[in-house]
Amino acid sequence: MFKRYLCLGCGFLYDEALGLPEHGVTPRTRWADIPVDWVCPDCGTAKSALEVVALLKGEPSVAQRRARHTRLASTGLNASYVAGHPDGVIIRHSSFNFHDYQIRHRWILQNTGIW
Amino acid sequence: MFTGNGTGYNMHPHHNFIIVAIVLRGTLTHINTIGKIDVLGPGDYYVFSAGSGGKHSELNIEREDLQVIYVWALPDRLMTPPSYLRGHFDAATSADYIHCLIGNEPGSLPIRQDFKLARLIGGAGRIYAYRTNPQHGVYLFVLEGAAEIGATRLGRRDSMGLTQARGISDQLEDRRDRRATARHRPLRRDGRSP
Repeated sequence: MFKRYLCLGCGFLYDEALGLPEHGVTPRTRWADIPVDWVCPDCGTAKSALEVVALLKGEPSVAQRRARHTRLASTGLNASYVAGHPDGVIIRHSSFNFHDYQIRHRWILQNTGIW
Repeated sequence: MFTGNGTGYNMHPHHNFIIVAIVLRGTLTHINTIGKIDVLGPGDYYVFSAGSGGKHSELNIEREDLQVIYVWALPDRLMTPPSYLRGHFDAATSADYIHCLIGNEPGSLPIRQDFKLARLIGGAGRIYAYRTNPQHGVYLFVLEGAAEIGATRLGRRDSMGLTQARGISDQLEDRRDRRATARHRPLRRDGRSP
């Protein structure tokens, strides 16, 4: 049984059955096999802050969702959409990535003392 | 609170979360990928369900300070099509009763969760009862004035969370404005549906 994990920072869903091919995580990759330093590709939240969520009552299965959905590709370093998820929609590449932002922000905090 | 011209949050992505914003003061410019550019003033509120994916931007492009309350909720179903709804709380016609802004009640903006968000403008010395299911939590936040919730006194911008409460009876000491939220049936941490 594959599980799904929801990011408490932004709602991003990691589905073990689907993986994140656009981010180098192949389908059927178990949560435990994802590196501990992995962060949410959308908002940079740490792996430890994602929580498991059930397949909810009445929700279509992955196969059903795949069957009715046209998959869109998300490419590029800043692609921040729900990569690979059959219900995911991709509008365009992200103009803003919280992970990059946080890393920059942290660097500024640690190195400049501006704030 | 966003202070000054140009502050806020740039365009950023969400999934599944239901984002609620209630404008208290100033002007909020909300842009989302459903195709909505909305300008909200005091009393306006929106429910933006990110579902299968949505981006939004929250900006103060005016000179005046902006005060907004944001509430996030998880829906009872994931990856549904994104949606945006907007409502208005009219202080003049909504005084003296607990007014349900969001929830599955007539006149409220619907939400895909057993969740209610209510607002009250109450008179001094008045007592208001809020009935809730003991399995549900309630979160109270005093916007203005003061209130007594059981034995607890809350002042301006104080808040409290209540769990396993059968009902709440609160007395207003002063003119004040209170929001009560009750979140029901949250997704359980162990991943099983309740």
